[in-house]
Amino acid sequence: MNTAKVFAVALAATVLAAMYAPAQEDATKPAGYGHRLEIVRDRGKILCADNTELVAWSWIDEDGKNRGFGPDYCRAYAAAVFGDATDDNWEIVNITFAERPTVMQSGEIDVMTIANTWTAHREVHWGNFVDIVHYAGLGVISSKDSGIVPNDWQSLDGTTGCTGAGTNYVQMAADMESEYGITFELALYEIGGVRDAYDAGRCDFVLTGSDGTGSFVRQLTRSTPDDHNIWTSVFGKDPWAMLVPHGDDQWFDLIRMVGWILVNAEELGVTQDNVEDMYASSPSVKVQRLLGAEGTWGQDRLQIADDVAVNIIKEVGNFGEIIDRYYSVEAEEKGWGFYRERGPDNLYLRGGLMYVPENT
Amino acid sequence: MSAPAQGDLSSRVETHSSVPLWRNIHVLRAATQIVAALLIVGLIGFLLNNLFVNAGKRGVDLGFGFLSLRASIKISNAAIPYSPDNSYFYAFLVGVVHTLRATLLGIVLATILGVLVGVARLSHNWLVQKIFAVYIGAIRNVPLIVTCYFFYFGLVLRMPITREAIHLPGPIFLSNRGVYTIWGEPTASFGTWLLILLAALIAGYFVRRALRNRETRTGMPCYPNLAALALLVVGGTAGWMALAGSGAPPLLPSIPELKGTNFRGGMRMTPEYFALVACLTVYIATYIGEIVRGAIQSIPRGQLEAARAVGLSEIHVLRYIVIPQALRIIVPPTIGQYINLTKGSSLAIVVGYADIYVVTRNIIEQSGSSAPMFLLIIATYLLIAAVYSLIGNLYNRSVQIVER
Repeated sequence: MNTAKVFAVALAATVLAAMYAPAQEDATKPAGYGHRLEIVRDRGKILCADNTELVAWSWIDEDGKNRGFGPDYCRAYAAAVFGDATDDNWEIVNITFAERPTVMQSGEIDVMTIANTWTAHREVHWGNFVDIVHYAGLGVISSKDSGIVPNDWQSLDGTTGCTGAGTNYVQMAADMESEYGITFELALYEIGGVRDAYDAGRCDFVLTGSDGTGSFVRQLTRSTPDDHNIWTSVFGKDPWAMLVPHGDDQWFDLIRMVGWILVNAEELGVTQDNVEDMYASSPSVKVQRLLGAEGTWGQDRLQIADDVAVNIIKEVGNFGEIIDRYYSVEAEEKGWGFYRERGPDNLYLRGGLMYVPENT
Repeated sequence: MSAPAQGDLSSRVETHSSVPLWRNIHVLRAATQIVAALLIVGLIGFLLNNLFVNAGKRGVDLGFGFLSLRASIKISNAAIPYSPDNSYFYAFLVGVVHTLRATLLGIVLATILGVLVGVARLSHNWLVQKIFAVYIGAIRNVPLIVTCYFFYFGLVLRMPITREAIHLPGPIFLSNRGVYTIWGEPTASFGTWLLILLAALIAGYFVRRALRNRETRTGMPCYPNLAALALLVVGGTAGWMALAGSGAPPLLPSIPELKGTNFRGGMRMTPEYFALVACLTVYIATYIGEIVRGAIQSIPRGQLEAARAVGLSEIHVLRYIVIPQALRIIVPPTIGQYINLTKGSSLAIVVGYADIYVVTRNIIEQSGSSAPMFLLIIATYLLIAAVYSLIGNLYNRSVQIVER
């Protein structure tokens, strides 16, 4: 039996050693390029990780379809890779906020469109964040019954808050306590649980991205939005951005270019309705370059069509149109979102922070 | 070595070699072992390789060094003193303590409830029997996560808000922020009082032993348990009076008072802790109940009839005939249920209780080290299960029938 054991161990070691042999690197690819694009093409579908609990950002509508800012970006990516977005070539993989690091590290997801705060730590550990699409801070919703004074951090002392488990709000809450010298109780749930617990009066206030506060109070079932104060003061910086896995420059560039196209299209006045006409007959050189009628700024290297911008705008419209779809009076009436002023996510031309390089 | 022995050996080898290799039982057995070992080692190797290769590709650090960094996350109502300045490892320990706190209480309560349920199922009272049969059927056929969710969001959070808390004598306040009761705040003399209690306990042990010996010797009832208990109560009270007389009672009452939206002072059981323990208890008690019922029913009727025939009271029949034999059957599967309960406690995230898993999720969010943290979780649950099994085995050995 001893010989058998030695033999077994030796054989296992050989098998292991064989498995550890490094895979051959593809010599034909530019440095830093990975296989993500080929994987997506072979699969015939782009996988976007998102949560479906946040009206306006990402939720499931009456028809059972994924809807919102995040899913629109996912559709835009599908249009870029496949020419158009059909029901079959993009999919929202529903994840919880706590699952984000594991999902990113497993590498099974092509892009994360979830309401995702960009931090230095996440940039280093999770993956590459693309450009900021929403500027928020840690927002507070407090119930009017609780005696908490809106925008007065000191008044949170001795009260109870709720927030999402596995979010960076758990750390920001600790920072908030030490910054203002207060203590409060903090109960942690998955996002649906935060809503139910706050609704039941388990907590006096909720910590969430300031952008999600409006949609949060609308989803409460046992009270009306008037029973709550949405603070105008926010804590810290909470910039939201799309996220791709580390280590694939080609895929990162492709995802980033889609974001630039959306913003540049708004700047140049290219909309879902006029994109075909603009492509055919716009006298503007910049528009012609954006839409690909005047050659390429690198589409060939990203293996996407020259007129990729046309496909994207036809599918989802420009950046401003996407925002209007979910953050406007019409959106609020339709139940697709809520109205808010366009602040930092307005174009730089109109006093906002949206300033992207040209697609030329 | 002598010549005949050598001759024996060679003749044995010859008989063996007459059997072909592929039909030789020893070779076959060894071969199966080797193949099985290879498959297992290969599988583990493949999975580990997968982990290391993928982690390497994405630049994920698989080390445990981060555990000593500042945790910086908030954990409310920590059972042991905690601040965000403590390390990740300490934060993880807080999660472990929370899990142990919930599961140990759950185990005690589930055992008590389980025994009651098991006995009630054997009741001659038709109504009692049916009520418990329905309880077992209903709870066992609903997933634990649903039960926990219902307990928390459907029952506990439906309690009145703190301002309208139900006020029971004591005072005890019931609200959807938890159960608040009066509690003793230990003072400087608390340690002294504990020493007095310990002394009374030790004295009680010896008194009990002496009285039991006398009981066995003389056959006259001497109430050893009662005497020991009386000694403890008298010692504790006398010690308290003495310390209070010198101006320092060991405990000062702390009464919960409503300040703003929360109570201050007193003892509090959070709704999350309550809901988790309650749903685990109610769920696991159904399994323990069935184990108890089965064990009691397995005792031959003849023994019971014989016991009654010699004039033992029903209590004595239970105490000396039923329980000693039933325990042997009850203990092993019940330990399994304790382990089930412990694993089930990871549903804490549903009710917002900060157990190992919830704390770990927050640690992973901050540190990015998911693989090491999950290994740590696995190791912790494994350790807890191993300890329960060990205790169970030791106990089981102590109650086994001594075979002659």
